[in-house]
Amino acid sequence: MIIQLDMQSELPIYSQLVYQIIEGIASGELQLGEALPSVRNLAADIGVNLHTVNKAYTLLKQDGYILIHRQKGVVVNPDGMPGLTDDFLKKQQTELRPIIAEAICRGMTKEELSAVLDQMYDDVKMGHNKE
Amino acid sequence: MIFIVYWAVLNMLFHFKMKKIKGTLTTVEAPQRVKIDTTFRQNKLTYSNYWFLIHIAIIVAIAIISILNYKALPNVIPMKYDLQGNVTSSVPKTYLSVLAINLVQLGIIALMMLVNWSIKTSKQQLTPSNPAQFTADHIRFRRKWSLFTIITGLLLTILFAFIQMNMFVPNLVLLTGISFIIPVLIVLGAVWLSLTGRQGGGKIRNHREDRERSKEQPVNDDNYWKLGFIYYNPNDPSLTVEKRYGIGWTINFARPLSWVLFLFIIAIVVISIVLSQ
Repeated sequence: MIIQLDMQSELPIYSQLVYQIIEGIASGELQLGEALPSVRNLAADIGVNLHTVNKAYTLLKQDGYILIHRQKGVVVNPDGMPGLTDDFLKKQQTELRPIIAEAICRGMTKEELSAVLDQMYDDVKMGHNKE
Repeated sequence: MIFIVYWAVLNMLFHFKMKKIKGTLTTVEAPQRVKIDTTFRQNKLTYSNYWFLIHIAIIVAIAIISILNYKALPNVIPMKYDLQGNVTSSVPKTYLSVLAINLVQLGIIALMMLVNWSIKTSKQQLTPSNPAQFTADHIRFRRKWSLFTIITGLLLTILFAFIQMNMFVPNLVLLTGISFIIPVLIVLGAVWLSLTGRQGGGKIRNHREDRERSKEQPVNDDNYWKLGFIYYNPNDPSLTVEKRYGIGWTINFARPLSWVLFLFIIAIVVISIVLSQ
């Protein structure tokens, strides 16, 4: 998978990394059990501090998307993805709420917002890059 | 020496000129993306350093032959010849003067193993456009130069072996021939590799690729290139990166380990010069 990072974005590099890897798994570009580069290699290749990559991997590991073996290195969780936990649903709602609120303020109808969501869902699943 | 000063002055002159020109250009608000292939490091990027075992075996064999035939050597060993074949410099026979050449060789092989290792570990630098295609070219680029390093090492080992054997079985014609052909082969090889591919991989001229490349902006890392050619980036854990121009790799001077590498290279060169005198 090709990871793309915008070095000037306001979004920190570690968040971009987390999102890119989750999106890679969602689109199937990253298979279950597929190996990911080690912290050191990835940091060197991107040209950022080791902590940045470490932070991203730690977050992904906490959520159950990846496993970090001492010997085998970093892999996409071969036992499948974490399910729809209560924690996740709660987090999703808090994240979606302001987005919906903003859309309403700017006069977006329910249908228009749903259409956007629909389109994006397919895009992510098909592996289209957001460009 | 004069050449190095000339090069440095020319380099700096154009660096500042370029900086001035770049400042006057309008900038485009395009995102600067770094692209990383997650499967990159799973590929075979270089040939194994174990290939150098062949070189080392030859060096050790020659050293053993030299020690076994030590008594047969004359008390004064000729070191240099002029074009007529007259001895221009010679040294008294000691174990060190006989085996000096082997020590120099081992140093050179260590250096080449280091080069091969740094080709492997060097930072992944993909073009912003069409990175997937470029990855394949880039891997070929690394392997090519890795192979070149190993073959150069082997040719040098053979050259030195002939020089050393010449002490026992003088054959000036053969020696002159070999010490002419081998350096020429190495230089021609380097020239050929440099003319058939560009830095980072890919063909020298590829218009379609050029058009694609110009669509996206590469990351602006001007600030990390001191005087345009010294890479100094404390945030980058990479030890070696691709040179900005020319072909090959350079070190990240912000990393202490890079300085160790740098000093090691200089030490080998200096020791070789001292031993050969």
